[in-house]
Amino acid sequence: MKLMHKSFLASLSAIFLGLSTATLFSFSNVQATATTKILDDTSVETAAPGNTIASDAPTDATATGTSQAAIGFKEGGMQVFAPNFGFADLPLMATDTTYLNSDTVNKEKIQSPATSKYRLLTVNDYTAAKDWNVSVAVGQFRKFDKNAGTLDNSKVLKVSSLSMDLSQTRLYHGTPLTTDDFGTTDPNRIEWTRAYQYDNQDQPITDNGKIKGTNDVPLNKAPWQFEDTSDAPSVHNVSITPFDDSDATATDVHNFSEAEREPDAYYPDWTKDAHGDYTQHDYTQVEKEKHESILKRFNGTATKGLNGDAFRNNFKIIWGSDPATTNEGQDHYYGKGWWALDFHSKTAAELHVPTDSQVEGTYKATMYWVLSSAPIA
Amino acid sequence: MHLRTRAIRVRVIYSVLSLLTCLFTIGIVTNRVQAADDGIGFQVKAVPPAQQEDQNSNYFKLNLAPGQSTQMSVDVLNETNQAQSFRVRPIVAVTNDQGAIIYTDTSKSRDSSLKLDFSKLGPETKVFKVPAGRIGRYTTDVTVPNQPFNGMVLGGFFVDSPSLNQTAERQKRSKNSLQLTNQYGFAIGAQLNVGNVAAVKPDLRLQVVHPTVLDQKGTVQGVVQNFKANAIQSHRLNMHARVYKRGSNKVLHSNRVSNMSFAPNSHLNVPVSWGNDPMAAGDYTMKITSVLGDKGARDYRVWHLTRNFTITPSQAKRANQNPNLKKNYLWLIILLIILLVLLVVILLVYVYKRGKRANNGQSSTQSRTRKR
Repeated sequence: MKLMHKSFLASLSAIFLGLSTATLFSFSNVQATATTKILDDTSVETAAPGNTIASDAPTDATATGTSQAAIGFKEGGMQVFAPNFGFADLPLMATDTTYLNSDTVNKEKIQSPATSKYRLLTVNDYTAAKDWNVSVAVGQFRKFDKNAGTLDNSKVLKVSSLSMDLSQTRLYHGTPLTTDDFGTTDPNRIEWTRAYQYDNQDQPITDNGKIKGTNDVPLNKAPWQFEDTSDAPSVHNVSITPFDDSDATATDVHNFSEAEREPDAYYPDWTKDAHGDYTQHDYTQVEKEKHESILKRFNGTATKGLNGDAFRNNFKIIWGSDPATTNEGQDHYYGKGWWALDFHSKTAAELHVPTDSQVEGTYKATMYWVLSSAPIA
Repeated sequence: MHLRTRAIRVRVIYSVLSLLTCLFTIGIVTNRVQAADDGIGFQVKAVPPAQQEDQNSNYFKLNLAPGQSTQMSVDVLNETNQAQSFRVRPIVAVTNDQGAIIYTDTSKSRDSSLKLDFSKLGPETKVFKVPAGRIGRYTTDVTVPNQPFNGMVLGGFFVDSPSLNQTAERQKRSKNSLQLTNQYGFAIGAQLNVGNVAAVKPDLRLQVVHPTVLDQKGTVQGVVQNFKANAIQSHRLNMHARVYKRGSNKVLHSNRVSNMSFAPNSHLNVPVSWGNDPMAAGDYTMKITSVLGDKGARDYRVWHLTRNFTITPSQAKRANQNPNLKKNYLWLIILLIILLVLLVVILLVYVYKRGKRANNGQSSTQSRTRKR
């Protein structure tokens, strides 16, 4: 009987011990997961591609490739110049896969090239458009089959977002280049005259978000001023999540008849206010049309799971102007200028690819830049 | 002879130097103008109708009465040296989830409250070719139906170039890379004020709440609709969304969206994320407080929007695919406690029974001894 009691107690103890061990084992798994997560996070934060990529790979982990850029109004009409974020030749997608399998490589964030001098987002506000916005959306990254020369819709790279940190950009102001001693300007040639670095200092911003554009402002380190600076540091990042644009189709093509086509003679009317004579001698008219560009607040940071969602939700406004507000004692810039955002920093644009979805290959996506001119915003 | 050879050498050197100087100069000039020369190759411009007060604007904004018509034109200048195709599509202005009125929606979906659809007032999608260096003009009649209507009709025209887009797609790129091809579009807004617009005030309602996954996180989205034919402009709307367990006053998750505008007859999604917390199936309530303007403003208004919703187990399972999800080990702790309690109970019972048996054994032995 005593033996039975002992064996019963032993069984109970064994069950309890087993349960305790299982529990401990579960918790140790939890711990392991947490550690992995921390490692992942750390690798994201301490991306040092030069240390992790193969010796024959570029040490600048970011990319080569040119960046041609910008969006904007050109004199008379609207014109777009957009940054070309060349995420090419990245360690992630390089042919040497040794570092692809390394746990220590930062694969979560791919940075845009830092060196390109043409990574500009440019706006020319020659027109009297009182409210313009620059919206951006990005489609899905589909695998490119180089043999067939086509994109494979079934192989989509899972990209969580493309984010642009606009605090890491530099703002430029330019004017049309003066081509002779009489002040004649060429609207197609820009002379950058001022540059601004976003300065996130704790300083009072009182002029309702206008760019301080006096002639006394030095070329650099002038703060950008947002309408609401209390949340400016957190709201100026823009994330754009890829969406499924595989169904985009074109409609039938029709030719405009000769009657409908306007002769070139119409075009000079567009440009008349860019000529030196006009700007120098008819101040009244210029005054009437003047407006100023400001950096509008950016509209939020929320990333969206947009695959399959309505097309409209994919566009994020990243930049825009507001109508002029005069009599504020500020010497604002009015029309006839170019504004440009230079994504000069390495991390100004980042593509986020979850580690588990990284498969080597060439992937292509379309980035849509839309310049809107709208009566209300 | 020697001198002649030397002279020839000097001439050659001068020629090379001159050539290099020329090339260098050209390079500088080219660089200087590059920013302007590498555009997308076309411009667009609104041609306001005669009824429009502001003839300088690059959008359309005019007052029309029911039954009245106007003509709107959009000019497209082909700046390339080849003929290009251009596409003009009429669109309806919508609101994106950040609360921005945008003119880029080329889809056919429409808000359920929309009565006058700008894209159905006459404009049609057209794709046309414009020769190199020429302007193509898209012209359309826009007619407001002859029926009683007060309010704002907000839409516009979206312009892009299929041929230039195709050219961009064909650009040769390096292999094994992530490539982004830029495509461009222009949106020209059109605002029609029909009848007494001022009499129509924007109004909001919370249409539906549904769970979804955003940024790999379980999220519920409240669909807020401005069901009136007037807009909230100038980013003057703020929203505070909260989610409660139904019947509770404790906020589970919340989100604020600030500085919003709202297109007439449109809707947007207000997300409330669970973050890395697991989403549990059950009954919930979403409350959204929307505030228009500042206290004291003439149009100051507050909406308290409430809607109950249910998260089904399958929806919760789908939402909980987040790889960074915090694991919930409450069940394990409860199980352990139950097992521990059971163990203690069993031990107590065992000890009690053992003691009882021992007592019984002892008393029977004592009685046997007494009998003896």
